[in-house]
Amino acid sequence: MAVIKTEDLTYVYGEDTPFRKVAVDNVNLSIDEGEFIGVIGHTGSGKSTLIQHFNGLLKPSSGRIFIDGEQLWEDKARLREIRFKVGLVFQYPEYQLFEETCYKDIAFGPRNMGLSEEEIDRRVRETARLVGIDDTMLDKSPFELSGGQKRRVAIAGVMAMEPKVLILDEPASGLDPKGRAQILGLIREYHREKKNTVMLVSHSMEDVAKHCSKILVMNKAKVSMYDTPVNVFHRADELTAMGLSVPQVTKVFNRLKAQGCDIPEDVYTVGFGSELIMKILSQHKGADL
Amino acid sequence: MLKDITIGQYFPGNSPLHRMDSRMKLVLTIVFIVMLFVAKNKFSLFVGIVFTLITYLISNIPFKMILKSLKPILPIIIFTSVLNLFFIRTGEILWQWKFLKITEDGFNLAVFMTVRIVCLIIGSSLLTYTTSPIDLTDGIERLLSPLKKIKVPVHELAMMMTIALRFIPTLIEETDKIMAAQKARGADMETGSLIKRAKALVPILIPLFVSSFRRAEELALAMECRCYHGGEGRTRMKQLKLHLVDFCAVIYFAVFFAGIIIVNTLT
Ligand SMILES: Nc1ncnc2c1ncn2[C@@H]1O[C@H](COP(=O)(O)OP(=O)(O)O)[C@@H](O)[C@H]1O
Ligand SMILES: [Mg+2]
Repeated sequence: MAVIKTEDLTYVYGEDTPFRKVAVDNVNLSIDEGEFIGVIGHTGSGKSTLIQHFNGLLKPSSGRIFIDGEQLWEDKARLREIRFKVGLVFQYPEYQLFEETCYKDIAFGPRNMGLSEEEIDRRVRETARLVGIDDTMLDKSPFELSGGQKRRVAIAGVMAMEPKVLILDEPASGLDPKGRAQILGLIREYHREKKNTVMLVSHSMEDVAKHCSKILVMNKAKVSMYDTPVNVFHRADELTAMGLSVPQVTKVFNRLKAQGCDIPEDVYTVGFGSELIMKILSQHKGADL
Repeated sequence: MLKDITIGQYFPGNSPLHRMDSRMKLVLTIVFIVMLFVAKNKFSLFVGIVFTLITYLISNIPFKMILKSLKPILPIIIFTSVLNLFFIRTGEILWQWKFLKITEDGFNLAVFMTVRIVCLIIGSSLLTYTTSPIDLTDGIERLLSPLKKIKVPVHELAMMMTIALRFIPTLIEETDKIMAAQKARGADMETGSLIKRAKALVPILIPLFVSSFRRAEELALAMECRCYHGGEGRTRMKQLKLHLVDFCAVIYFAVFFAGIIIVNTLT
Protein backbone atom coordinates (compact mmCIF):
# COMPACT_ATOMS: atom_id res chain seq x y z
CA MET A 1 0.00 0.00 0.00
CA ALA A 2 1.16 3.50 -0.73
CA VAL A 3 2.26 5.35 2.38
CA ILE A 4 1.48 8.73 0.81
CA LYS A 5 -1.18 9.21 -1.80
CA THR A 6 -2.64 12.42 -3.18
CA GLU A 7 -5.69 12.94 -5.36
CA ASP A 8 -5.96 16.13 -7.40
CA LEU A 9 -4.09 18.03 -4.73
CA THR A 10 -4.18 21.79 -5.34
CA TYR A 11 -3.00 24.61 -3.13
CA VAL A 12 -3.48 28.32 -3.72
CA TYR A 13 -1.74 31.06 -1.74
CA GLY A 14 -3.57 34.32 -1.15
CA GLU A 15 -6.89 33.35 -2.70
CA ASP A 16 -8.99 36.46 -3.44
CA THR A 17 -6.06 38.85 -3.28
CA PRO A 18 -3.99 40.35 -6.08
CA PHE A 19 -1.16 38.08 -4.87
CA ARG A 20 -3.05 34.89 -5.74
CA LYS A 21 -0.64 32.11 -6.59
CA VAL A 22 -1.28 28.48 -7.43
CA ALA A 23 1.67 26.79 -5.77
CA VAL A 24 0.59 23.17 -6.22
CA ASP A 25 -1.55 22.32 -9.19
CA ASN A 26 -3.54 19.13 -9.44
CA VAL A 27 -0.97 16.68 -8.14
CA ASN A 28 -1.66 12.94 -8.20
CA LEU A 29 1.02 10.93 -6.51
CA SER A 30 1.46 7.58 -4.93
CA ILE A 31 4.56 6.95 -2.87
CA ASP A 32 5.49 3.46 -1.77
CA GLU A 33 6.96 2.46 1.52
CA GLY A 34 10.72 2.22 1.92
CA GLU A 35 11.45 4.39 -1.07
CA PHE A 36 14.19 7.05 -1.06
CA ILE A 37 12.77 9.88 -3.11
CA GLY A 38 14.55 12.94 -4.38
CA VAL A 39 12.25 15.90 -4.92
CA ILE A 40 13.74 18.34 -7.33
CA GLY A 41 12.58 21.53 -8.99
CA HIS A 42 13.46 25.10 -9.65
CA THR A 43 13.11 27.62 -6.78
CA GLY A 44 9.44 28.52 -6.51
CA SER A 45 8.23 25.38 -8.24
CA GLY A 46 6.19 24.41 -5.19
CA LYS A 47 8.34 21.77 -3.53
CA SER A 48 8.10 23.17 -0.04
CA THR A 49 4.38 23.78 -0.41
CA LEU A 50 3.78 20.22 -1.59
CA ILE A 51 5.65 18.54 1.24
CA GLN A 52 3.95 20.66 3.91
CA HIS A 53 0.72 18.97 2.91
CA PHE A 54 2.03 15.54 3.75
CA ASN A 55 1.91 16.09 7.49
CA GLY A 56 -1.10 18.35 7.56
CA LEU A 57 0.59 21.70 8.04
CA LEU A 58 -1.20 23.06 5.01
CA LYS A 59 -4.76 22.25 4.19
CA PRO A 60 -5.31 21.61 0.49
CA SER A 61 -7.42 24.16 -1.36
CA SER A 62 -8.91 21.15 -3.10
CA GLY A 63 -8.11 17.48 -3.45
CA ARG A 64 -7.33 14.77 -0.92
CA ILE A 65 -4.30 13.29 0.80
CA PHE A 66 -3.98 9.84 2.30
CA ILE A 67 -1.28 8.88 4.76
CA ASP A 68 -1.09 5.13 5.32
CA GLY A 69 -4.56 4.86 3.85
CA GLU A 70 -6.04 7.37 6.25
CA GLN A 71 -7.43 10.58 4.81
CA LEU A 72 -5.88 13.72 6.23
CA TRP A 73 -8.24 16.48 7.41
CA GLU A 74 -11.17 14.10 7.64
CA ASP A 75 -10.91 14.12 11.41
CA LYS A 76 -8.97 17.09 12.74
CA ALA A 77 -8.42 15.38 16.08
CA ARG A 78 -6.31 12.73 14.36
CA LEU A 79 -4.06 15.29 12.73
CA ARG A 80 -1.51 15.32 15.52
CA GLU A 81 -1.25 11.52 15.46
CA ILE A 82 -0.66 11.57 11.74
CA ARG A 83 1.98 14.23 12.17
CA PHE A 84 4.02 11.74 14.17
CA LYS A 85 4.01 9.42 11.17
CA VAL A 86 5.40 11.97 8.77
CA GLY A 87 8.41 13.84 10.11
CA LEU A 88 9.18 17.10 8.39
CA VAL A 89 12.53 18.87 8.60
CA PHE A 90 12.19 22.42 7.35
CA GLN A 91 14.77 24.41 5.48
CA TYR A 92 17.31 25.94 7.90
CA PRO A 93 16.00 23.81 10.76
CA GLU A 94 18.67 25.19 13.12
CA TYR A 95 16.51 28.29 13.56
CA GLN A 96 13.98 26.21 15.48
CA LEU A 97 16.33 25.16 18.27
CA PHE A 98 15.19 26.57 21.57
CA GLU A 99 16.03 24.32 24.51
CA GLU A 100 18.86 24.80 27.01
CA THR A 101 20.67 21.68 25.89
CA CYS A 102 20.86 19.70 22.68
CA TYR A 103 19.61 16.66 24.55
CA LYS A 104 16.42 18.44 25.57
CA ASP A 105 15.92 19.82 22.10
CA ILE A 106 16.18 16.42 20.45
CA ALA A 107 13.84 15.05 23.12
CA PHE A 108 11.18 17.69 22.38
CA GLY A 109 9.47 15.68 19.63
CA PRO A 110 9.54 12.28 21.37
CA ARG A 111 8.30 13.92 24.57
CA ASN A 112 5.35 15.42 22.72
CA MET A 113 4.55 11.91 21.54
CA GLY A 114 4.08 10.92 25.17
CA LEU A 115 6.80 8.26 25.26
CA SER A 116 8.34 6.94 28.46
CA GLU A 117 11.56 8.48 29.80
CA GLU A 118 13.61 5.38 28.95
CA GLU A 119 12.29 5.31 25.42
CA ILE A 120 13.01 9.03 24.99
CA ASP A 121 16.53 8.52 26.30
CA ARG A 122 17.12 5.59 23.95
CA ARG A 123 15.91 7.54 20.94
CA VAL A 124 17.85 10.70 21.73
CA ARG A 125 21.11 8.80 22.17
CA GLU A 126 20.55 6.64 19.13
CA THR A 127 19.77 9.50 16.76
CA ALA A 128 22.53 11.64 18.25
CA ARG A 129 24.96 8.83 17.40
CA LEU A 130 23.46 8.53 13.94
CA VAL A 131 23.96 12.22 13.16
CA GLY A 132 27.40 12.29 14.75
CA ILE A 133 26.69 14.34 17.86
CA ASP A 134 28.68 12.91 20.77
CA ASP A 135 27.64 12.77 24.41
CA THR A 136 29.61 15.81 25.53
CA MET A 137 27.83 17.92 22.93
CA LEU A 138 24.43 16.70 24.09
CA ASP A 139 24.79 18.66 27.33
CA LYS A 140 25.85 21.85 25.60
CA SER A 141 23.52 24.67 24.59
CA PRO A 142 22.58 24.36 20.93
CA PHE A 143 23.53 28.01 20.49
CA GLU A 144 27.17 27.19 21.21
CA LEU A 145 27.52 24.80 18.29
CA SER A 146 28.78 25.42 14.77
CA GLY A 147 26.31 25.83 11.90
CA GLY A 148 26.69 22.27 10.65
CA GLN A 149 26.38 20.83 14.14
CA LYS A 150 23.26 22.88 14.85
CA ARG A 151 21.76 21.59 11.62
CA ARG A 152 22.48 18.00 12.60
CA VAL A 153 20.95 18.46 16.07
CA ALA A 154 17.82 19.90 14.46
CA ILE A 155 17.56 17.01 12.02
CA ALA A 156 18.06 14.57 14.89
CA GLY A 157 15.12 16.23 16.64
CA VAL A 158 12.81 14.99 13.89
CA MET A 159 14.55 11.66 13.31
CA ALA A 160 14.14 10.84 17.00
CA MET A 161 10.40 10.74 16.46
CA GLU A 162 11.04 7.73 14.20
CA PRO A 163 8.46 8.74 11.62
CA LYS A 164 7.38 6.31 8.93
CA VAL A 165 8.21 8.95 6.39
CA LEU A 166 11.02 11.43 6.87
CA ILE A 167 10.88 14.52 4.67
CA LEU A 168 13.76 16.96 4.54
CA ASP A 169 13.48 20.33 2.80
CA GLU A 170 16.85 21.31 1.34
CA PRO A 171 18.74 19.95 4.35
CA ALA A 172 22.15 20.78 2.90
CA SER A 173 21.50 24.36 1.79
CA GLY A 174 23.88 27.01 3.00
CA LEU A 175 26.58 24.57 4.10
CA ASP A 176 30.10 24.12 2.78
CA PRO A 177 30.84 21.06 0.60
CA LYS A 178 32.06 19.03 3.54
CA GLY A 179 28.98 19.88 5.57
CA ARG A 180 26.76 19.01 2.62
CA ALA A 181 28.38 15.63 2.16
CA GLN A 182 28.07 14.96 5.88
CA ILE A 183 24.36 15.77 6.01
CA LEU A 184 23.52 13.84 2.85
CA GLY A 185 25.60 10.92 4.13
CA LEU A 186 23.78 10.73 7.41
CA ILE A 187 20.41 10.82 5.68
CA ARG A 188 21.48 7.90 3.52
CA GLU A 189 22.71 6.12 6.65
CA TYR A 190 19.35 6.72 8.32
CA HIS A 191 17.52 5.25 5.34
CA ARG A 192 19.80 2.22 5.24
CA GLU A 193 19.41 1.56 8.94
CA LYS A 194 15.71 2.23 9.42
CA LYS A 195 14.35 1.26 5.99
CA ASN A 196 11.79 4.04 6.37
CA THR A 197 10.56 6.16 3.51
CA VAL A 198 12.69 9.26 2.97
CA MET A 199 11.97 12.29 0.81
CA LEU A 200 14.85 14.60 0.13
CA VAL A 201 14.06 18.00 -1.38
CA SER A 202 16.85 19.67 -3.22
CA HIS A 203 17.48 21.80 -6.25
CA SER A 204 20.78 20.12 -6.95
CA MET A 205 20.71 17.09 -9.23
CA GLU A 206 24.07 15.87 -8.00
CA ASP A 207 22.69 15.65 -4.46
CA VAL A 208 19.76 13.46 -5.32
CA ALA A 209 21.29 11.46 -8.17
CA LYS A 210 23.53 9.39 -5.97
CA HIS A 211 21.18 7.80 -3.52
CA CYS A 212 17.61 8.04 -4.61
CA SER A 213 15.48 5.18 -5.82
CA LYS A 214 13.00 7.59 -7.40
CA ILE A 215 13.09 11.19 -8.49
CA LEU A 216 10.13 13.52 -8.40
CA VAL A 217 10.49 16.56 -10.62
CA MET A 218 8.35 19.61 -9.90
CA ASN A 219 7.91 22.28 -12.52
CA LYS A 220 5.63 25.33 -12.28
CA ALA A 221 3.48 23.85 -9.50
CA LYS A 222 2.99 20.54 -11.29
CA VAL A 223 4.68 17.18 -10.92
CA SER A 224 6.24 16.70 -14.32
CA MET A 225 8.11 13.44 -13.70
CA TYR A 226 8.10 10.75 -11.07
CA ASP A 227 10.38 7.95 -12.07
CA THR A 228 13.66 6.17 -11.48
CA PRO A 229 16.82 8.28 -11.87
CA VAL A 230 17.72 6.44 -15.07
CA ASN A 231 14.44 7.33 -16.71
CA VAL A 232 14.46 10.88 -15.43
CA PHE A 233 17.99 11.67 -16.57
CA HIS A 234 17.17 10.14 -19.90
CA ARG A 235 14.98 13.19 -20.51
CA ALA A 236 17.89 15.61 -20.16
CA ASP A 237 16.49 18.06 -22.71
CA GLU A 238 13.21 18.46 -20.84
CA LEU A 239 15.09 18.97 -17.58
CA THR A 240 17.28 21.63 -19.14
CA ALA A 241 14.19 23.40 -20.46
CA MET A 242 12.91 23.56 -16.88
CA GLY A 243 16.11 25.21 -15.75
CA LEU A 244 17.37 22.05 -14.10
CA SER A 245 20.47 20.25 -15.11
CA VAL A 246 21.43 16.63 -15.15
CA PRO A 247 24.60 15.67 -13.28
CA GLN A 248 27.83 16.56 -15.07
CA VAL A 249 28.76 12.92 -15.71
CA THR A 250 25.39 12.23 -17.26
CA LYS A 251 25.94 15.13 -19.64
CA VAL A 252 29.31 13.73 -20.66
CA PHE A 253 27.94 10.25 -21.25
CA ASN A 254 24.84 11.48 -23.07
CA ARG A 255 27.18 13.30 -25.46
CA LEU A 256 29.34 10.19 -25.89
CA LYS A 257 26.23 8.20 -26.64
CA ALA A 258 25.10 10.77 -29.18
CA GLN A 259 28.48 10.39 -30.90
CA GLY A 260 27.94 6.68 -31.29
CA CYS A 261 29.67 5.22 -28.27
CA ASP A 262 28.08 2.06 -27.06
CA ILE A 263 26.92 2.93 -23.57
CA PRO A 264 24.51 0.47 -22.00
CA GLU A 265 22.47 2.75 -19.75
CA ASP A 266 22.37 6.23 -18.35
CA VAL A 267 25.18 7.15 -16.06
CA TYR A 268 24.62 9.48 -13.18
CA THR A 269 27.36 8.85 -10.67
CA VAL A 270 31.03 9.56 -11.14
CA GLY A 271 31.98 6.18 -9.72
CA PHE A 272 29.89 4.22 -12.17
CA GLY A 273 31.02 6.50 -14.99
CA SER A 274 34.70 5.89 -14.41
CA GLU A 275 34.13 2.14 -14.18
CA LEU A 276 32.37 2.26 -17.52
CA ILE A 277 35.14 4.29 -19.13
CA MET A 278 37.73 1.81 -17.87
CA LYS A 279 35.69 -1.04 -19.31
CA ILE A 280 35.31 0.64 -22.69
CA LEU A 281 38.97 1.57 -22.78
CA SER A 282 40.09 -1.96 -22.02
CA GLN A 283 37.77 -3.26 -24.74
CA HIS A 284 39.30 -0.81 -27.22
CA LYS A 285 42.78 -1.87 -26.20
CA GLY A 286 41.82 -5.46 -26.84
CA ALA A 287 40.50 -4.55 -30.30
CA ASP A 288 43.60 -2.52 -31.15
CA LEU A 289 45.98 -5.29 -30.26
CA MET B 1 -4.22 32.91 10.79
CA LEU B 2 -1.39 35.32 11.50
CA LYS B 3 -1.38 36.63 7.97
CA ASP B 4 -4.88 38.02 8.46
CA ILE B 5 -3.47 40.90 10.47
CA THR B 6 -3.75 44.02 8.35
CA ILE B 7 -1.28 46.44 9.89
CA GLY B 8 0.05 48.50 7.04
CA GLN B 9 -1.72 46.24 4.60
CA TYR B 10 -1.05 48.00 1.34
CA PHE B 11 -3.25 47.08 -1.59
CA PRO B 12 -1.42 48.11 -4.76
CA GLY B 13 -3.39 49.90 -7.44
CA ASN B 14 -3.49 52.94 -9.63
CA SER B 15 -6.56 54.83 -8.49
CA PRO B 16 -6.45 58.60 -7.90
CA LEU B 17 -6.22 57.77 -4.22
CA HIS B 18 -3.13 55.69 -4.82
CA ARG B 19 -1.55 58.46 -6.83
CA MET B 20 -2.09 61.17 -4.22
CA ASP B 21 0.74 62.55 -2.17
CA SER B 22 0.96 60.77 1.18
CA ARG B 23 1.19 64.07 3.10
CA MET B 24 -2.01 65.25 1.49
CA LYS B 25 -3.70 61.97 2.28
CA LEU B 26 -2.64 62.17 5.92
CA VAL B 27 -3.93 65.72 6.29
CA LEU B 28 -7.16 64.95 4.48
CA THR B 29 -7.74 61.87 6.63
CA ILE B 30 -7.60 64.10 9.67
CA VAL B 31 -9.97 66.52 7.94
CA PHE B 32 -12.26 63.56 7.22
CA ILE B 33 -12.33 62.58 10.89
CA VAL B 34 -13.12 66.16 11.90
CA MET B 35 -15.80 66.22 9.21
CA LEU B 36 -17.53 63.17 10.67
CA PHE B 37 -17.56 64.74 14.10
CA VAL B 38 -18.84 68.05 12.80
CA ALA B 39 -21.84 66.25 11.31
CA LYS B 40 -24.23 66.61 14.19
CA ASN B 41 -27.48 65.19 12.86
CA LYS B 42 -28.56 62.34 10.64
CA PHE B 43 -28.91 64.49 7.54
CA SER B 44 -25.39 65.84 7.65
CA LEU B 45 -24.12 62.40 8.59
CA PHE B 46 -25.83 61.14 5.47
CA VAL B 47 -23.65 63.53 3.47
CA GLY B 48 -20.69 61.94 5.27
CA ILE B 49 -21.90 58.48 4.26
CA VAL B 50 -22.22 59.53 0.64
CA PHE B 51 -18.75 61.00 0.82
CA THR B 52 -17.29 57.79 2.27
CA LEU B 53 -19.06 55.73 -0.36
CA ILE B 54 -17.79 57.82 -3.26
CA THR B 55 -14.26 57.79 -1.86
CA TYR B 56 -14.45 54.01 -1.50
CA LEU B 57 -15.62 53.67 -5.12
CA ILE B 58 -12.79 55.89 -6.35
CA SER B 59 -10.21 53.85 -4.42
CA ASN B 60 -10.93 50.63 -6.32
CA ILE B 61 -10.33 48.57 -3.18
CA PRO B 62 -12.35 45.31 -3.12
CA PHE B 63 -15.27 45.33 -0.72
CA LYS B 64 -13.89 42.22 0.99
CA MET B 65 -10.83 44.14 2.16
CA ILE B 66 -13.07 46.84 3.63
CA LEU B 67 -15.04 44.21 5.52
CA LYS B 68 -11.79 42.75 6.77
CA SER B 69 -10.75 46.09 8.24
CA LEU B 70 -14.12 46.38 10.00
CA LYS B 71 -13.95 42.96 11.61
CA PRO B 72 -11.57 43.78 14.48
CA ILE B 73 -13.66 46.72 15.68
CA LEU B 74 -16.94 44.80 15.61
CA PRO B 75 -16.85 44.18 19.39
CA ILE B 76 -16.39 47.91 20.01
CA ILE B 77 -19.30 48.75 17.74
CA ILE B 78 -21.55 46.21 19.46
CA PHE B 79 -20.46 47.33 22.89
CA THR B 80 -21.15 51.03 22.31
CA SER B 81 -24.43 50.30 20.54
CA VAL B 82 -25.67 48.20 23.43
CA LEU B 83 -24.67 50.86 25.92
CA ASN B 84 -26.44 53.55 23.93
CA LEU B 85 -29.50 51.38 23.35
CA PHE B 86 -30.15 50.52 26.97
CA PHE B 87 -28.77 53.40 28.94
CA ILE B 88 -30.30 56.38 27.20
CA ARG B 89 -33.63 56.84 28.93
CA THR B 90 -35.04 59.92 27.31
CA GLY B 91 -37.57 60.00 24.49
CA GLU B 92 -40.43 57.75 23.55
CA ILE B 93 -40.26 54.13 24.69
CA LEU B 94 -40.07 51.71 21.77
CA TRP B 95 -39.72 48.42 23.59
CA GLN B 96 -39.77 47.34 27.21
CA TRP B 97 -39.12 44.15 29.11
CA LYS B 98 -38.90 44.23 32.90
CA PHE B 99 -36.25 46.85 33.70
CA LEU B 100 -34.80 46.91 30.16
CA LYS B 101 -36.14 49.51 27.84
CA ILE B 102 -35.19 50.99 24.52
CA THR B 103 -36.11 54.55 23.83
CA GLU B 104 -36.25 56.36 20.55
CA ASP B 105 -33.34 58.61 21.50
CA GLY B 106 -31.26 55.62 22.51
CA PHE B 107 -32.01 53.84 19.28
CA ASN B 108 -31.19 56.89 17.19
CA LEU B 109 -27.96 57.53 19.00
CA ALA B 110 -26.91 53.87 18.70
CA VAL B 111 -27.45 53.91 14.93
CA PHE B 112 -25.79 57.31 14.62
CA MET B 113 -22.69 56.24 16.54
CA THR B 114 -22.40 52.96 14.65
CA VAL B 115 -22.59 54.65 11.28
CA ARG B 116 -20.06 57.22 12.37
CA ILE B 117 -17.56 54.63 13.62
CA VAL B 118 -17.97 52.50 10.51
CA CYS B 119 -17.36 55.51 8.25
CA LEU B 120 -14.38 56.48 10.36
CA ILE B 121 -12.78 53.06 10.03
CA ILE B 122 -13.50 52.76 6.31
CA GLY B 123 -12.05 56.21 5.66
CA SER B 124 -8.89 55.68 7.63
CA SER B 125 -8.33 52.17 6.33
CA LEU B 126 -8.56 53.59 2.81
CA LEU B 127 -5.50 55.62 3.76
CA THR B 128 -3.49 52.53 4.69
CA TYR B 129 -4.84 50.47 1.82
CA THR B 130 -3.82 53.02 -0.79
CA THR B 131 -0.51 54.16 0.71
CA SER B 132 2.51 51.93 1.06
CA PRO B 133 3.93 51.96 4.59
CA ILE B 134 7.13 53.53 3.36
CA ASP B 135 5.25 56.43 1.71
CA LEU B 136 3.21 56.79 4.85
CA THR B 137 6.19 57.19 7.16
CA ASP B 138 7.83 59.45 4.61
CA GLY B 139 4.73 61.63 4.70
CA ILE B 140 4.64 61.62 8.48
CA GLU B 141 8.29 62.57 8.65
CA ARG B 142 7.77 65.48 6.29
CA LEU B 143 4.67 66.67 8.06
CA LEU B 144 6.38 66.57 11.43
CA SER B 145 9.66 68.08 10.25
CA PRO B 146 8.91 71.52 11.74
CA LEU B 147 9.22 69.80 15.11
CA LYS B 148 12.94 69.31 14.41
CA LYS B 149 13.33 72.96 15.42
CA ILE B 150 12.40 72.04 18.98
CA LYS B 151 14.82 69.09 18.95
CA VAL B 152 12.31 66.31 18.36
CA PRO B 153 14.23 63.50 16.60
CA VAL B 154 11.70 63.30 13.76
CA HIS B 155 13.96 61.55 11.29
CA GLU B 156 15.03 58.92 13.79
CA LEU B 157 11.44 58.26 14.82
CA ALA B 158 10.39 57.95 11.19
CA MET B 159 13.29 55.62 10.44
CA MET B 160 12.35 53.44 13.40
CA MET B 161 8.79 53.35 12.18
CA THR B 162 9.84 52.50 8.63
CA ILE B 163 12.03 49.66 9.85
CA ALA B 164 9.34 48.35 12.17
CA LEU B 165 6.76 48.43 9.39
CA ARG B 166 9.17 46.85 6.97
CA PHE B 167 9.82 43.97 9.34
CA ILE B 168 6.27 43.23 10.41
CA PRO B 169 5.58 40.95 7.42
CA THR B 170 8.99 39.33 7.79
CA LEU B 171 8.35 38.68 11.43
CA ILE B 172 4.90 37.27 10.75
CA GLU B 173 6.31 35.00 8.09
CA GLU B 174 9.04 33.87 10.43
CA THR B 175 6.56 33.20 13.23
CA ASP B 176 4.45 31.14 10.84
CA LYS B 177 7.49 29.13 9.83
CA ILE B 178 8.66 28.47 13.36
CA MET B 179 5.14 27.55 14.42
CA ALA B 180 4.87 25.10 11.55
CA ALA B 181 8.23 23.59 12.41
CA GLN B 182 7.37 23.11 16.08
CA LYS B 183 3.95 21.75 15.15
CA ALA B 184 5.73 19.22 12.96
CA ARG B 185 7.53 18.13 16.10
CA GLY B 186 4.21 17.64 17.82
CA ALA B 187 3.97 20.93 19.70
CA ASP B 188 0.39 21.43 20.74
CA MET B 189 -0.66 25.06 20.89
CA GLU B 190 -4.38 24.78 20.58
CA THR B 191 -5.53 22.62 23.48
CA GLY B 192 -4.95 22.53 27.22
CA SER B 193 -5.18 24.97 30.09
CA LEU B 194 -4.07 28.57 29.86
CA ILE B 195 -0.77 27.82 31.61
CA LYS B 196 -0.09 24.90 29.30
CA ARG B 197 -0.73 27.06 26.29
CA ALA B 198 1.48 29.84 27.62
CA LYS B 199 4.25 27.27 28.07
CA ALA B 200 3.69 26.06 24.53
CA LEU B 201 4.72 29.54 23.35
CA VAL B 202 8.27 29.11 24.62
CA PRO B 203 9.42 26.98 21.65
CA ILE B 204 8.15 29.72 19.35
CA LEU B 205 9.25 32.84 21.20
CA ILE B 206 12.84 31.81 21.86
CA PRO B 207 13.75 31.13 18.22
CA LEU B 208 11.86 34.27 17.26
CA PHE B 209 13.85 36.45 19.66
CA VAL B 210 17.11 34.87 18.64
CA SER B 211 16.46 35.53 14.99
CA SER B 212 15.16 39.06 15.61
CA PHE B 213 18.34 40.01 17.40
CA ARG B 214 20.42 38.45 14.65
CA ARG B 215 18.44 40.33 12.04
CA ALA B 216 18.71 43.64 13.90
CA GLU B 217 22.46 43.24 14.15
CA GLU B 218 22.78 42.41 10.47
CA LEU B 219 20.65 45.38 9.51
CA ALA B 220 22.64 47.76 11.69
CA LEU B 221 25.84 46.48 10.13
CA ALA B 222 24.46 46.84 6.62
CA MET B 223 23.34 50.40 7.36
CA GLU B 224 26.73 51.33 8.75
CA CYS B 225 28.43 49.84 5.71
CA ARG B 226 26.44 52.26 3.63
CA CYS B 227 27.56 55.16 5.82
CA TYR B 228 24.21 55.82 7.40
CA HIS B 229 24.63 58.42 10.13
CA GLY B 230 21.20 59.79 10.81
CA GLY B 231 19.07 62.27 8.94
CA GLU B 232 21.43 65.23 8.66
CA GLY B 233 22.27 66.15 5.10
CA ARG B 234 20.40 63.13 3.80
CA THR B 235 18.74 63.61 0.44
CA ARG B 236 15.85 61.62 -0.90
CA MET B 237 15.50 59.52 -3.98
CA LYS B 238 11.76 60.02 -4.04
CA GLN B 239 10.80 63.68 -3.76
CA LEU B 240 7.30 64.24 -2.52
CA LYS B 241 5.47 66.64 -4.78
CA LEU B 242 1.91 67.84 -5.01
CA HIS B 243 0.15 67.09 -8.28
CA LEU B 244 -3.12 68.01 -9.89
CA VAL B 245 -4.84 65.05 -8.26
CA ASP B 246 -3.97 66.44 -4.82
CA PHE B 247 -5.59 69.79 -5.58
CA CYS B 248 -8.66 68.06 -6.96
CA ALA B 249 -8.84 66.11 -3.70
CA VAL B 250 -8.74 69.33 -1.69
CA ILE B 251 -11.62 70.74 -3.72
CA TYR B 252 -13.57 67.49 -3.38
CA PHE B 253 -13.10 67.53 0.38
CA ALA B 254 -13.96 71.24 0.63
CA VAL B 255 -17.23 70.72 -1.26
CA PHE B 256 -18.38 67.96 1.05
CA PHE B 257 -17.20 69.71 4.19
CA ALA B 258 -19.15 72.77 3.18
CA GLY B 259 -22.10 70.49 2.38
CA ILE B 260 -22.05 69.07 5.88
CA ILE B 261 -21.88 72.48 7.52
CA ILE B 262 -24.72 73.78 5.37
CA VAL B 263 -26.91 70.75 6.10
CA ASN B 264 -26.04 71.14 9.78
CA THR B 265 -27.29 74.74 9.86
CA LEU B 266 -30.35 74.11 7.69
CA THR B 267 -31.77 71.30 9.81
N1 LIG C 1 3.55 31.89 2.48
C1 LIG C 1 3.41 32.17 1.18
N2 LIG C 1 2.53 33.11 0.77
C2 LIG C 1 2.36 33.39 -0.54
N3 LIG C 1 3.01 32.77 -1.53
C3 LIG C 1 3.90 31.82 -1.21
C4 LIG C 1 4.15 31.47 0.16
N4 LIG C 1 5.08 30.48 0.19
C5 LIG C 1 5.40 30.25 -1.09
N5 LIG C 1 4.70 31.04 -1.93
C6 LIG C 1 4.77 31.04 -3.40
O1 LIG C 1 4.43 29.75 -3.87
C7 LIG C 1 5.31 29.32 -4.87
C8 LIG C 1 5.94 27.99 -4.49
O2 LIG C 1 6.79 28.20 -3.39
P1 LIG C 1 7.59 27.04 -2.66
O3 LIG C 1 6.67 25.91 -2.39
O4 LIG C 1 8.28 27.64 -1.49
O5 LIG C 1 8.64 26.63 -3.79
P2 LIG C 1 10.03 25.87 -3.66
O6 LIG C 1 10.12 25.26 -2.30
O7 LIG C 1 9.99 24.87 -4.76
O8 LIG C 1 11.09 26.89 -3.89
C9 LIG C 1 6.33 30.43 -5.07
O9 LIG C 1 5.98 31.14 -6.22
C10 LIG C 1 6.19 31.29 -3.84
O10 LIG C 1 6.39 32.63 -4.18
MG1 LIG D 1 11.52 25.61 -0.77
